[in-house]
Formats: sequence, structure tokens, C-alpha cells
Amino acid sequence: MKTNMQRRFLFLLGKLLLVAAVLPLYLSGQTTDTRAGLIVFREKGCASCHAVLGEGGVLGPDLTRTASTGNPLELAAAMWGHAPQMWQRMKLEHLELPTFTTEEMENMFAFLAMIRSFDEPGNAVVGQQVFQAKQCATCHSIGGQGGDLGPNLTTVASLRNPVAWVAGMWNHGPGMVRALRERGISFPEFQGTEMVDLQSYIRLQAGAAADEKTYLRPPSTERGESLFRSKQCINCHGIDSGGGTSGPDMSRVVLPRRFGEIATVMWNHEPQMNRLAAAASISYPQLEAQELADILSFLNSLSMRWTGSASAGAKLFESKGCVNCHATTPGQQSPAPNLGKIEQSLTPITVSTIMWNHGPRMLEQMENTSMTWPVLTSRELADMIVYLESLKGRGQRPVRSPSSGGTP
Amino acid sequence: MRLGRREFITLAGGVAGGAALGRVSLRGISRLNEALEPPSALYPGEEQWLRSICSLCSGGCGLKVRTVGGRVIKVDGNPIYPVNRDGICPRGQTLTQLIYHPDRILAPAHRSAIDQPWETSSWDQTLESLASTLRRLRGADQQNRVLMVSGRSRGLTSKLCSHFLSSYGSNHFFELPSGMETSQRALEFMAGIPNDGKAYRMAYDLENSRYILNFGCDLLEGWGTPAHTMRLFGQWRDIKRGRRTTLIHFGPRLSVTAARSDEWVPVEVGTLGAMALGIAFVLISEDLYNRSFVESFSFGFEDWTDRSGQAHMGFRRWVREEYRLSRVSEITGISSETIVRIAREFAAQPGSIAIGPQQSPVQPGRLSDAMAIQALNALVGSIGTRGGVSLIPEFGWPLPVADGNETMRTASLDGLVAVLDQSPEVLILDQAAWFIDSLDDAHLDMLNRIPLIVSTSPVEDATSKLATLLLPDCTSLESWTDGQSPSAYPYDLIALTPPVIPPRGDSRPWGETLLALARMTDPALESVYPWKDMESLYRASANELSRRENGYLFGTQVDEQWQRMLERSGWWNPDWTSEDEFWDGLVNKGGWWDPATWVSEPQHSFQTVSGKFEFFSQRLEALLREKGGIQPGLQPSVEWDRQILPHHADILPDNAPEGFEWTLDPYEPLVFFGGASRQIPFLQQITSPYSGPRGWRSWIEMSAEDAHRMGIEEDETVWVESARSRIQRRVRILEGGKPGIVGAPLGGAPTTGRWARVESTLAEILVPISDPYLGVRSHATTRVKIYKA
Repeated sequence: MKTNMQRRFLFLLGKLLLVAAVLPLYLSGQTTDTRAGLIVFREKGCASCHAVLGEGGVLGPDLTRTASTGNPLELAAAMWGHAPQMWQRMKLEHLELPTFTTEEMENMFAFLAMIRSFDEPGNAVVGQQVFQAKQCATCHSIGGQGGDLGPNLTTVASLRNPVAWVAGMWNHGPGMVRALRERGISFPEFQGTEMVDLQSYIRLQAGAAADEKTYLRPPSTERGESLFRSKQCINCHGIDSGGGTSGPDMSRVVLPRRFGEIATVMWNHEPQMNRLAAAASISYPQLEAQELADILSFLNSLSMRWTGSASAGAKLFESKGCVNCHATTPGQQSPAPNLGKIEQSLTPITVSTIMWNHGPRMLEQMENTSMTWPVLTSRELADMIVYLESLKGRGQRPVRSPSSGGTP
Repeated sequence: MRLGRREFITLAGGVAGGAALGRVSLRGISRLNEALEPPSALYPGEEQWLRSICSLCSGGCGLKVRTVGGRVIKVDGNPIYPVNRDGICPRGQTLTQLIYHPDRILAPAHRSAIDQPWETSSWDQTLESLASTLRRLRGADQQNRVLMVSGRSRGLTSKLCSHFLSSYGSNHFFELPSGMETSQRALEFMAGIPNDGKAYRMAYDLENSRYILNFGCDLLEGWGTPAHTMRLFGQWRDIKRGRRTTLIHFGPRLSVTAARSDEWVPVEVGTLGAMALGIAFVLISEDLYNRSFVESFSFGFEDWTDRSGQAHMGFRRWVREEYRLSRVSEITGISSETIVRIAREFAAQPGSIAIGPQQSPVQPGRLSDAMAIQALNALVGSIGTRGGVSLIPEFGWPLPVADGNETMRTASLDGLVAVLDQSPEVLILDQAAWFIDSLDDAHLDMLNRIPLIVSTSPVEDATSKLATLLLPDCTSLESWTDGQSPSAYPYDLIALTPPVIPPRGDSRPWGETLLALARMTDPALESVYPWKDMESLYRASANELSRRENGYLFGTQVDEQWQRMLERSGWWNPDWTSEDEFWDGLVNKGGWWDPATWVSEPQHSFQTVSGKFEFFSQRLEALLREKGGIQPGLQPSVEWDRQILPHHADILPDNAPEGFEWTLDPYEPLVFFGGASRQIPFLQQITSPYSGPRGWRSWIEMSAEDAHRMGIEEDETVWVESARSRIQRRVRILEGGKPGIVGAPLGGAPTTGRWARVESTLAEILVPISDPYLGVRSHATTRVKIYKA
């Protein structure tokens, strides 16, 4: 039972955390190894059931094609929620149940976060429809057909990364907007993966010209943050309430998880941004493809952050029935481990590790007492983690976990 | 342990005595190996594991070589070499026997005639004798009287050969056919290749195929890269992948591949095209084909009218009218139910692929059959897609010369024989024992009339037997060795390894011999080939490659997946930042490759006249119009469209002559394909255990039913007689073989060296059949009669 003082403390802490908004998780990006994460993914047998980008098993879903972002909290919540099903299926398939160290889980999460930001090859059939619907052929030619006002698209067919493609469009944006206006053609906005599909169509139409391949180097979140300032993006877009206000605060915007799709969002706002920048006497930023990739990496990393409310977590601890088995007060005995005694810093990754390694025993005990496995949303999991951290008197400290920054 | 020939025979005979024919005593092989080891069985000195590349077939697998005290002890597969990843076939393991073979040629030599003894000489003297002949012919403007036949179809030395011939002025460079030539031509006719001057090759993404219709390819023997195919067989059956790839084998002979397939469909000889069209009939009739692909990206499926107003029959109507199940069943000897079932399974899932026909260097198959098979791939939308087939740019070691002209390579045996008829004066045989295996006595007589035959063989073989000049190459473990994407392999790859041991005796890498020969023939060529040795040439070539901005140095399978995912999403994280780093990485890791070479997007754009996949190839039609139809006399006159559309035509007359009731189907077993391995005891032993004084002998394979009917016992000697001649062979009886079919391996006992055995070649009785479109040999299937000797 909590004392009144404890309740008051938790209430205040919860308020504080909600006001503090987001807490960075994947920003440092120094210690995790995304390639090592792939090794963990393969060696622990995850790849036997789950595919990534179409490669791997088919028993479970392809982890790059599910709806959530690569945010570790969402991954942890999904893992928590589906763990009993996974254990049951693994038992049926006679698969060995692996255990994870925190480092392994962290590397695997970093890998999954990164891989989920990768664009998949587009659909050329859809791309053809986009090409026609957006009237690209009015100005551009491909395969010997189309207009000659803009560049022949065969010349950019070697670009394999949608970010490079958007960078090319971005740099010619003002000219394109003028030309479109003169011809009475509306500015082409793209949805979802349309830009990637369009690129796929261009490649197929270009034939052998697309055999040459031009890639981008893996982007740097740190360089991206620096470019975000030097290219004066910060003058319009704030980060954590710092910076300009004429554009949206990028730490509060929910961006798509794939780089090509983030770049598409940026392209869709090009006319508006151009106008606002001109009004604020900010020169239109020319971006090398690699620079754009770096900036997008920085923006992507912002979506890796999470926060929670200790007071909400405390309520969940009761409503989800955790309190029935786990004590939280030092020295108190309970059927399941006293969670107030956990010394390890709790993050979505450490919680996932503990849950995965000890979960089967927990599930067995719950089944013996006719209890159901508690399913938690990512928000609920965040609240629960902050609450459990608060029990150690460390709840106000930002919960940090080093990771990749969500970039390759 | 060292044995003389007598002791060896006793030993090997003991092996055979303890083992039934077709089986091998491991203890016996072990003793056999000991007999072939170098003089000292104890090797004091440091143990090392080094990397190399196998040169015993064009697959070029990566090797991990154990040496002790500077001697090669053991050869295994290199785990990071992407083609074979740890696996290795029996041939690769015999490299040690090749290196220390007692019949190694360890110094240049010459003789005045083939019945005269060899005299060793210095490299300078021997090369000068060849160079002076080359200079004389050039002075007389007779450069085309020089021809080279090479078993190297890939790699920098092969490029050096063709460029040297081009610089010299000869047009005659023949290389070992891959067997894919006819299939590739079919796909080129139907899917097209860009007219950009680049070379393209046919490749399959078999790793991702889920249902494979194999039209006669000996996947586990002389096809592609054996170790790679064996690895694929393992993957297809790996339960961890969550799905099993099904392999259906069509062919009359009970081959190793047929026996290891999920289902062997023993079609009649020469009916592979009809079977493909029967399956097409079911796909079309039951509406199981890929409508999206066929309707949007193909041409000639429906009836159509050309610009002149001439109506043409579409593939749909052609198949519906001409290849009804009852007819196909009658042609192939396979029930309609089986054809329907297989067709339905083939259409049931993505990743279905049809491969063939045959694709063997000796029997590349017919164009019309190959087009029927590619039509099947189009019907299920497997052209240029995951698990499918595609034509991809040939990528390999660049020869860093200003003038990149090379003498055009020809892989046609018939073309080569035609050149032999033009009184050549110099014939250079480089890894060309395969060529000799393909010749009958009349052809060999033509060779014997050539004044100067040069052999580069490192061991006494069929080429050295014919030669009067020896310029001995060393084995791949004794020199810088390169590798390149083998035929059918879906990724760009180059590999390079330094020598594991120094060249034995006074042998030299053929590449370096060529560089020296070029300089001696024409001092002006010194500026064209400025490299002092092959290492310098590789370095210059690697510098060009280092400028590429894709691909990775070899790594583990984790690296492979990682790199493929990066590249497919548009990212590239290079392993090098300079020429020096690239070179160091290349040599240390053994090679570079691009695991994302294979198309990740289905092919919807084709370099054909219509810009689509053409069931009715307009390029083939134009070619035939130019020729005035298919070659006169080789095919009866048929309606025009029927010549162009994929179709079946008999290869053998319906009525066999009296007594010629068997059909002999020649094939290349794993151990002999490419012809280079006859001298290696281990390989002889695993196919044909040593039969005491009778030595290793060639054989034919008969069904148990036929053998019983004829009263023929296992290992009994019989005559095999065709319309041309007759030869003797011993009999192997195959339980479950198809009656009326006789299998016969090409290659066989050594023709020279200490274990030589005089034996008629199979070529003596074969009656080659030409493709009416391409004018080259498509089959060697021959009607024969068999009777006891």
C-alpha cells in the first residue's frame, strides 16, 4: 500500500514528465551495433519465424512490414503483447527458446529500428500510374517519349535511393513550381510510397541506363543535426520548442518511418516552405543528396524518443493486476519478484529482456492461477516503466538508451 | 610413402577387389591418396590455412588450403566465398593430386614429332621457337592460321588470350561452351538485350525459386557450378527456411539429378519442348497464367496483325490448337494427369521457374525447345523477377589496356572443326582436353596434320599427347588466381588469391607466359602489356575496379544479408576508400561481389521490337527472313508462324533402323565435365573403381529391365553400335532406369600418362544433330544397338 506522500510524489512526477514532453532515447548512437543486431536476430532464431524486408521465416509477420514505427517502446510493447503466442508457437515447432542479454536486445532493437526506416523497392505498375496522374511526361521524357522542358529522366535512373531522387527535385523545386504554374499544372504532391514507386517505374523505363547504380552513404544523425542548423531549417522549424515557429516543431511532428516517405513529406511542403522562407529572407536551401539524407536521419531520430507518466503507471500497475503478484515496497514479500528491488535501469529494452527471459515462467504461474497475460499499449508500457523507475527515486532522470539514432 | 606403378596397381586393384562396382572403399581411397602424396610423408614446418580458387571447372569455387611446411595437405571450401560458402565438390578436393601428380610437366619442352621423345629446354628458347613462327605468319599476313582453344571461359587470363590474339591479328579463339548458349539465345530473342555493346549472360535466382521445372539439366553434374548447386539443393530442403523448394526433373535418363529430384518425369527423348508446351496448354486452358504480366508486358500471346496487314497466330491459339494434352501425352509418353498436376503446382505460387533444355556443353539443346521453356517462364511472370531468370550484364576483370578490342570468342565446336579444315599452322591448346574428348578419329587426323601444336597442360593429358611444344602452366594453387561469376550465378563477383605455394619445377602461369610471348612476338606490344607479371596486371585491373561505388569485399552470410538490405534500400557502406585499401581488402578477403545484383523489381521493360516479352520473336523472324527460312534440308517446310512460335519437332526419325532399338544419351559426369580431370586417380576411382590389369574403364548405363531381357550382367562388356561405328563398353545396370535409354558418360580413362588405357572415345559413335535455326550442334543423342562382346 502506498502512503499519501508517495501518492502525492507520483502525481507531481507524472505532471512533470508530461510537461517535459519527450525524452531522448536513440540520440547518442555510439554503443549499439546494428549489424550485431542482425547477428542476434539470426543466431537467436528470430529469423526462422520472422522476415525482415522479405528475407527470413514466414511463421510470424515480416517485422519491416508491420504498422508501428521503429520506436523501441512500440517494439517492446508489441513483443510483450505477442510473447505468449510466440512461446506457444515455438513450442509447437520444437524451436529452442532463446535468452537475451541486455546488450543483445539493444543491438537487435537498434537493428529493427534501422531496418524499418529502409525503403523497399517500389512497384513500377503503381509508378506508371503516378507518372501519368502527375503529368510528369509534360515536361520530362523517359524512353524517348515526353517533354523536353525538364531533364530527361533517364539521366537520373541510376539513383537507387529515393532521398537522392527527392534531393534532385528539391533543388529544382522553385523552377519546377514556376514552370508548372505557367502551364496550369498543379504542383505534384505524393502520398505514401508513390515517390518510390515512381522511381521504380523510371528505372524500368530507362532499361540499361538503370544498370548503373548510385547509392547514398549511410547518413549521420549528428551531421544531420548540424546541417539542420547551418541550412537554416532551425530558423523556421523548432526542436523541443527551440528555434523558429513559422514551421512545425519537428520534435512534435509524427513523420513516416521510412526515409523516402519522410523526404516525400518534405517535397509536398516545398511551395509553402519556399514562400515562407522567402518572406523571412531565408535563402532557399540547396541540398546535396547526402546532406538531405543526414537531415532526414536527424529528423527520424526524433521519433525514437518516448516519455511516460509515473502516476498513470501506478494506476496501471493496479488495474492490470501486477500488484497481485509483485510487491514494490522494499522488504515486502510477494509471490513474484519485488519490482522495487530491481537495480537495473529500466528502459523498453531492459524490460523486453527481462520479460523475454523470465516471461515463460511468469506465464506458467499466471496460467496456474487463472490469470490472463496483461497486454500493454506502448503508452501504457511507457507509463509503467517510468513508474517502476520512480520507485527507485530516479524517476525524474531522463531515461536514456544508447542506440543507432534510427539510421543505417 | 612412395610407390612404383606396379605397387600402385596392386594397391588400387585391392581397392576394387574389396568393393562392388560403383562403390568405393574409403580405406582404399585413403591408401590411394597416400600413394600420390609427395615424397616425404612427414612435413616439418609451419601449418597455414590459405585461400585459393579452384581451376578444375569454370565454376571457380573458393578454397581453403591447408599447408604444412610449404606443402599442400588438404583442400576444403572457403566459408566466405559466396558461390560455394564452405562447400566443395570432389573435384576441388583432388587439387592436391594434381599438384603432386607423378605425370606433372615441370619444364618447357619440344619434340620434332609426336612419336619422338621430348627434350626439355629453357623458357626463352621454347618461347622464341613459337614467337618466330608467329612472326613469320604475321609477315606473310597469315595470322588466321593461328588458333587458340581454351578451357578458360572467364577471368583475366582468358581476356589476355583473346586480346593477345586480337593484337596479333587472328580471329580464331575458341572457348569451352557453358551449355547455356542456346537457352540464352532463346531468352535474347524473346526478352531482348540492350544494343549497348556490352556482353550479357543468363542467370537464375535459384536460391529464391520455390518450384523448379528442370527440363533435362544435370544440375548435380556438369551444370553451372557443382558446389553452388549442391548448396542450393541443401537450401531447397532446409526446413528452417519455412518452405521447401520443389524440383521436378524431366528427362529420359535416370541421372543423379533425376534420382535426387522430388519427382522424375521420364519423358521420351527429344520431347522437352513438347512437355513445356503441354504445361503451357494447362496454364492457358485453366486460366492459371499470370494475366497481369501477359496482358501488359508481352507480345504475340493473342492473334495479331502486322503493319502490312498480315494476320498472325497468337501463342494462346497456337498452344490450344497444337498442344492438346492427348497429343502431348502421346509425344512425351507422360500421362495427361501428370501434366495437369504439375502445371497446376507450377502456377500455384510465386518463385516458379523453368530451366533448360539440357544446358550441357555437349548437348545445349534446341532453340525451339528453349523458347517453349522461356514461354513458360513468361506465363508465370518469372522473367527478371525474384526466383526467376534474367539476362544480366557480364561483369568481370577489366583488362587495363587502351584498346580493349578482343578477338571474338566462339563456343561452337562445329565452328572450330570448320577452322581445322582451313590448314591452320599453329594450334594453342590451353586447358583444352575437353576439346579432344569431343573429337572422333577423323577430327584427330586433322589435328595431326597441324605443324605446331602447343599444350599448356600442367600434367600429361590428351593435349600434351598431340603437342610438339609444351609451355606448362602451373595449377591454381601455385599462381595468382582469379575468379568471376560462374554461368547461371545471379550476382556480380570477382575474386583473387595469391599463390599458396611457389610453382613446382619450372612451370609458369599461362598469363605470364602470354605476356612474355607477346613481347617476343612483337616488341611494339611491350607498351600494350607493360606488366612484368600477373600480380602487376591484377593490381592495375583492381585499381579500375576500386572506382566502382557498389558491392562489398567478401564477408560472412550475415554480411551478405546486411549488405543486400542496405543496397536494395539505396545505401552503400563501402569497405574501402582508396585503391590501396581495395587491393589489400581484395587480397585478404579473397574477392569482391555485389549481393544486390539481382533485380529486386520484376522486369517489365524489354529490349525487343515491341518493347515487351515476345512469344512471337520479331527478331527471330527478321533473322529467318534474312536467311529465307530455316536452313534448307534440315527441317520440312512448315507454315511461317510455326517456325517462329515455340514448338516441338522430332530430333530422331520415328522409325529406328532394324536392331537400333536403344537411344544413347551422352552426358558429362561431375568428375569429367570440362575434360580436365581424367588424369586424377581419385576422380577415376569414384566413378569407376580400378579393375586390376584392365585399368579404369568407361561404361554405359542400362535399365535393369533391358539388361535382364538381353541377359546382360553387371560389368559385362558389350558392343555399342551406331550407324557410324561401334565401341566396347562395360555395362552398369540401373534399377529403375527407363527401358530403351542408354546413358553414356563423356570422358573416361586417361589417354596418356602412366595410367593410360587405350579406349575408343564415345565421339566415335555419336551422330550429332544440328539445330535448324542456329546451325550448331544441339544434341548428340544417337540410335544404337547393343550386343554382347
